Amino acid sequence: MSTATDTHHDEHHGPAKGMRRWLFTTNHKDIGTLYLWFSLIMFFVGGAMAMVIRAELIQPGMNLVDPMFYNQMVTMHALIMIFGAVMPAFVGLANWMIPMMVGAPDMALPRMNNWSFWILPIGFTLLLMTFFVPGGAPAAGWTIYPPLSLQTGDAFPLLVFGIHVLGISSIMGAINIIVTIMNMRAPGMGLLKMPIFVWGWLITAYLLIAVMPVLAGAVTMLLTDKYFGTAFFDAAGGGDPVLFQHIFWFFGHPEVYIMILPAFGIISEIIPTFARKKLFGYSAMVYAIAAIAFLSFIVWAHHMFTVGMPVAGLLFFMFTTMLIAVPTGVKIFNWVATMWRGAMTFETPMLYALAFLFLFTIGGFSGLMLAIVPADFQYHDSYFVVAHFHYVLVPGAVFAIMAAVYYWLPKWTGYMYSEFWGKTHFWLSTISINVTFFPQHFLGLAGMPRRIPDYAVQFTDFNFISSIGAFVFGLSQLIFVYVIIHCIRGGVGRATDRVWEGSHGLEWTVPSPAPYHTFETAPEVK
Amino acid sequence: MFKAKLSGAIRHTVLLGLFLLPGSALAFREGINLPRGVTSISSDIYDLHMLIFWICVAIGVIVFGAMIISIFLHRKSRGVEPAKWHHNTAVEVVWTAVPFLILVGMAIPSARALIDIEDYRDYDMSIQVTGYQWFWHYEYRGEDVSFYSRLDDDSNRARQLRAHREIDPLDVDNYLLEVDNRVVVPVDQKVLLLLTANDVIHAWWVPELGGKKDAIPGFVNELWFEISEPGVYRGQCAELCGRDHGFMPIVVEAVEQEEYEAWLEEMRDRNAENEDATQVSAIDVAR
Amino acid sequence: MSEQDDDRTKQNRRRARFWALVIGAVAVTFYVGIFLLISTRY
Repeated sequence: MSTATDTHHDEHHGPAKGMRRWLFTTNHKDIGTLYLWFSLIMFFVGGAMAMVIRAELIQPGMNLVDPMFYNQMVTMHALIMIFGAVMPAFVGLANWMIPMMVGAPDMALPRMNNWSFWILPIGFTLLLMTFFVPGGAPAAGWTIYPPLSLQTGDAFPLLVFGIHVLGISSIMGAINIIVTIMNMRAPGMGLLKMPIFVWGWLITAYLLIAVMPVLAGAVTMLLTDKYFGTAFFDAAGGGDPVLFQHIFWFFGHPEVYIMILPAFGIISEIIPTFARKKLFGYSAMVYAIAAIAFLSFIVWAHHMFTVGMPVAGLLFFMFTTMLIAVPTGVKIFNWVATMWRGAMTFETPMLYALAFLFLFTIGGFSGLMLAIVPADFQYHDSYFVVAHFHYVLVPGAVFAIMAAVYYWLPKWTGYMYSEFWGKTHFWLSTISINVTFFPQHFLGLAGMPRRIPDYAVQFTDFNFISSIGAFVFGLSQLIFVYVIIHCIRGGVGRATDRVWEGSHGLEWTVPSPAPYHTFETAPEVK
Repeated sequence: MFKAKLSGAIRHTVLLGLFLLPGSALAFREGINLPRGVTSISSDIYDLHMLIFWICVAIGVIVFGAMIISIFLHRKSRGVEPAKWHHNTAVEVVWTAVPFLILVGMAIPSARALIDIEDYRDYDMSIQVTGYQWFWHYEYRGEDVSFYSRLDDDSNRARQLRAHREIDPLDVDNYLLEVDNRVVVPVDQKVLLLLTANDVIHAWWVPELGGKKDAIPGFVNELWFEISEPGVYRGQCAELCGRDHGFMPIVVEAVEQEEYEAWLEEMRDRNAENEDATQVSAIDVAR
Repeated sequence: MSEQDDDRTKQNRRRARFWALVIGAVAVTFYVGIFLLISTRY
């Protein structure tokens, strides 16, 4: 693969000019870029809602917003962060990196790829429109449990169709990723030679296909319950509100892993690079991801231990949930073993990866505590749960995305980002995220329920601390935007093709910035 | 009032400072952990919680210790050469098997506690609890006593949006954790709650009594407790149930048997006076 | 893009399209299946 060939192709098949380039693009790199920008915008929209929540909770009393609006913020913050920020960011990274990592010229189905992205803004237009319809945005929590969610006003059909559209987008994206990985690999790129990021995404894509239809089914049943007289979830008509929770969490728990398995992949790329040592126990890492994915289908009811289940059910879901700690532990230990006796340097991506390792593990511990049914009877729906899932989603998934952005940004733009501002962003984010979420463990244990707009005065101190942390975290993200734009505009100088001293893998063999078309002739993998 | 606010602000600043110092957890002794509570369930849960917590701390010391040692020793700036090994079957088997054994060790006491908690037989009295948007209804089964229990008046006036607020929340005793009619129960009696709801799902949670249970329209869930010490125990609805989810507290008052009998008499008299305003049985409403 | 794909890539894409249809069909079946399963039970 010589640079000359690439330049030649670029002359004839470079990007179109102006808006047409982005609207009609079938290029995996362009689509990846679109996904990533979209995700960044949604991160700020959802983040703004988090700021409203923390501002309301900074002291007792209803100080800023109506309780109903507060509930809308809680609901939309979650929906936007999950479906708008975290998932599209991972799909964007998959689009950019998977073809380059497996030595394919593009995704297998480039036109469908265009659609997968462009229906996302449509879905979010539907979702965000709900703020302007009678009755306001959905306010029943992102879990949309009936009967409460059936009290939603005109926003309800918009919510349901919005979720359908996002689901279709995810399924198309997932199908594309699977068939690309299964069919488009370069000669010699055996399945067990693929980078772990590719493995993480392959398994994630299967999870998406298995569970997005389940969510679509669940919300459609809600729709018919509300408007067409069915009674799937209405006890008065012979239905069962708890049935919805079972269906929802059959989607919801694999969904949690959809947001973390690609993150595992990213961390498995970054730590070996900066430890200058091969990933420890490659095949164990692959099997661990597969085991976690399998277990994710048989643990869903741990989200609903308090709905009144038979003891046998409680025990089953407790044991399977605890079992997830085994493969997750294997991953953590293998990452530590990769660092062990390496020669580490601590550039921004590595700092984020290490923060992930520490803080995700803390989230894992609280997860293990939550698995213990009797204890969960106390923790359930308290701030302890809020602290737990924010620890796995923010310093977990979001930090992994940030690590990935810093890691591959030089490859995407051709320039190095500012290490000083990257590290400033890192330290501010890491400290403030702990100030935000660590005290929430205490709040939950002391008895503060989640999703309340106002609280008893004994919870004041920790809420105050938590709000301050949240504001600092929110502001720190502006540095992230600055670093990205600064880097696109030339950063602190040109990046080399390998970028990092310890980098490995096909994506580092192409020039920086990666040309518009790469690997039009498949590389040979030894 | 102003002084109170100012000192509050100073306290926040000091607390924030303390929080950032290691070892400052001592400053927060109160309200950082689960309460041990006043029932056998809550103290079983507390012990289990602490057991799991310390196991996690021990694992954390090992894992985080290894990470920190590695971060300090195995850095390029110290001139180390990276090792070449990248797998070791024996080690991998060990760190798959050992966590599994630890989990088994955790699962046994957990399952035992769970089976004790889920034993609803041989109760001494039962109360039907119905969740409404946004208050609770209690019906003492077989006692002809039933009443609604709502957020008390002071809290209600203090929780209004700033422009309509008549009292500062800080001036209300037990802000958001006080009701007009408390649930009175005798000590040392196994009290069974039969939980249901009239409109949407609610959840009944008093941390010091141990655990919570959802109140689901059309279904009846069970929850029990046996309080060992007289006292007032406070909790809240724990399942998002709409606009005023944060404003439907639960207050349980545990008293000696004689006092409880007297209270029942008093409530019966009160109910008789209100005969005209026919109290619809919660079960009928649910149906 | 597809016009200048070499034979190997063309072959790969053809295989990929086939599997995409299979997976898509499974997803749709799943979606419909949930309805049938639940509407026959309730």
